[in-house]
Amino acid sequence: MKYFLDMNLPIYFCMQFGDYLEEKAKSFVENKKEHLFLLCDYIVSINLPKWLKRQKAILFEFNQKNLDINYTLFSSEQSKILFPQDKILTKRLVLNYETTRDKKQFVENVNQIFNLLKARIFYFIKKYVDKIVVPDSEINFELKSCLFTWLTPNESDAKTIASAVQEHKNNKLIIITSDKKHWTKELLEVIHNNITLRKEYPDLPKIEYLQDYTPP
Amino acid sequence: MVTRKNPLQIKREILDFLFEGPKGNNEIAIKMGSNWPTTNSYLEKLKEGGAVNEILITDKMKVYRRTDDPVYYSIPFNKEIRMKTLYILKEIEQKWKKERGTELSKTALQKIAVDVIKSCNLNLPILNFHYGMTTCASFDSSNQSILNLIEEPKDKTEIIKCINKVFEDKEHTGIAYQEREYQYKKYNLPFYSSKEKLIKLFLSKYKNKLENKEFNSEIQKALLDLSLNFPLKLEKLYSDFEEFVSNAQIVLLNPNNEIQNLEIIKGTLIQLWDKLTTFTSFNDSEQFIDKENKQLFEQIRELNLNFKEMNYKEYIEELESVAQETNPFDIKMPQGNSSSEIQKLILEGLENE
Repeated sequence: MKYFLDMNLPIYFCMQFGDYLEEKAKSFVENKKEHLFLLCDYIVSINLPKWLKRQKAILFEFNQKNLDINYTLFSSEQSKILFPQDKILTKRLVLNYETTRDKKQFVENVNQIFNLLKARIFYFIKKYVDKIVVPDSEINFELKSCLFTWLTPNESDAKTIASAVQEHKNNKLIIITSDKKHWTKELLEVIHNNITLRKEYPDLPKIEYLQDYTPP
Repeated sequence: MVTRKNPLQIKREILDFLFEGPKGNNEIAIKMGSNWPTTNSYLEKLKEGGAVNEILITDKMKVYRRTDDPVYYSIPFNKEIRMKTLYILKEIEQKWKKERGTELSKTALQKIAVDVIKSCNLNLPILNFHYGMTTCASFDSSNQSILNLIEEPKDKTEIIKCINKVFEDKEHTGIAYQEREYQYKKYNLPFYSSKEKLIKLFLSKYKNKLENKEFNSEIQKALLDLSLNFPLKLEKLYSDFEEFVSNAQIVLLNPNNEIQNLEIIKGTLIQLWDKLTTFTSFNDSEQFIDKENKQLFEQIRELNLNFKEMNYKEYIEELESVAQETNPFDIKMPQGNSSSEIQKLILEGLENE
């Protein structure tokens, strides 16, 4: 079977603190066996590097605050790329730092986790991903726009799902994600409301959720 | 009657003119009152003799400098800045020798000169260079040809007063490493202190082998300390810095780390540092450059930064390839409550994508 991975799965897999979804991701990957793992070019070349760049900016902000208590968070140039949720994460890291007893250990952990996470993600792609599919430039614009309209305006989800649908046309696959809220069967069916797209993509991929995964 | 200058005089005049900073061949020709081919032939002869070299070559012009130009990177500061800086350095060196009876190390000379410039608010460039703050020029008392060109500035008396005042500071020992430490402390330069500590570790305990877990963990701590002291003003180069730190950490955390990998980390750090401090030195210089020299300044800056980038790239690529040989899943994520909390926060952020 070919599994088309959502970006979250490798990240869950790279964690190590016993989280429920982390365990599910580990179990899923450990039972890979003859299955093929696919990632789309958009995730590998654009979305993941962007996410990692934002993590780097979060770490920068955290360390700057640590260096100088008077530093105004998000006043650096690179913090301009941060999303509101990244800013919340940064603030919570700082808050946790302020309330933790062993501050030295906390700072050490933050730096080590952010650095290790990046290395682990790249290693995961190298070791477990069998094929990178659908070059970003070849994503069907109409398909992406259709998904974008229905999927709250989320460009990255629209591009990732469009890649999965396109790849599925030639190579049958299953999408695996942990995003039960947005990545739904109903969403995919929206594609068939468009006559042209229905013709072009008569068969839509199945979505499986990491939460529901049970090892064989 | 017009007296013709002999070749030796002309060459001397060109060298004296270049003491004021790097100059284009046309500018030199105008100054010499000579045509371009004649000037060029003298410049070629000076070049053959090793007295000058080209700092920049474009389709339209060549920019020459003295090979013994005391100003770092031959940055085109004006004559007054060059002269005054060299005068301060010369006076400090002579005074130290006279009063303390010892030679002053080059580092110590720079540190004392920085104190002189700062304490008296002399409007002269101070560069954040490889070993902390320095003036814009180095001083070599054995170079008589340069010494002869140094003129006394108008505010000589004030400068001498400043030097005397700084000499009263007993923290100035004249010993290079003590002077560096004193400056880092005095002017709050923790990034430099951290780097000094890290380099010391590489050098001192280097032979005490890698199986020594304590050594490995000390290096990691020093690296973290360096990260935590990364200054905001270097933000533009944070990507390079982060790239170095994350790869070095992976290599150091690898339980099978080998001794030669430490050499690669050390080498990469040195190249990175060179790149960072070249960047800061040019930034610190910028405001002191006269309008007519801005373009030349930018060209010299670009040339040097590209060169440093090239050197750094070679090292970081090697460090990256060593890091990539490591399976990062062999390295445990930190354990404990705070680690779980941090990872949880990252995942929460991810879920809100």
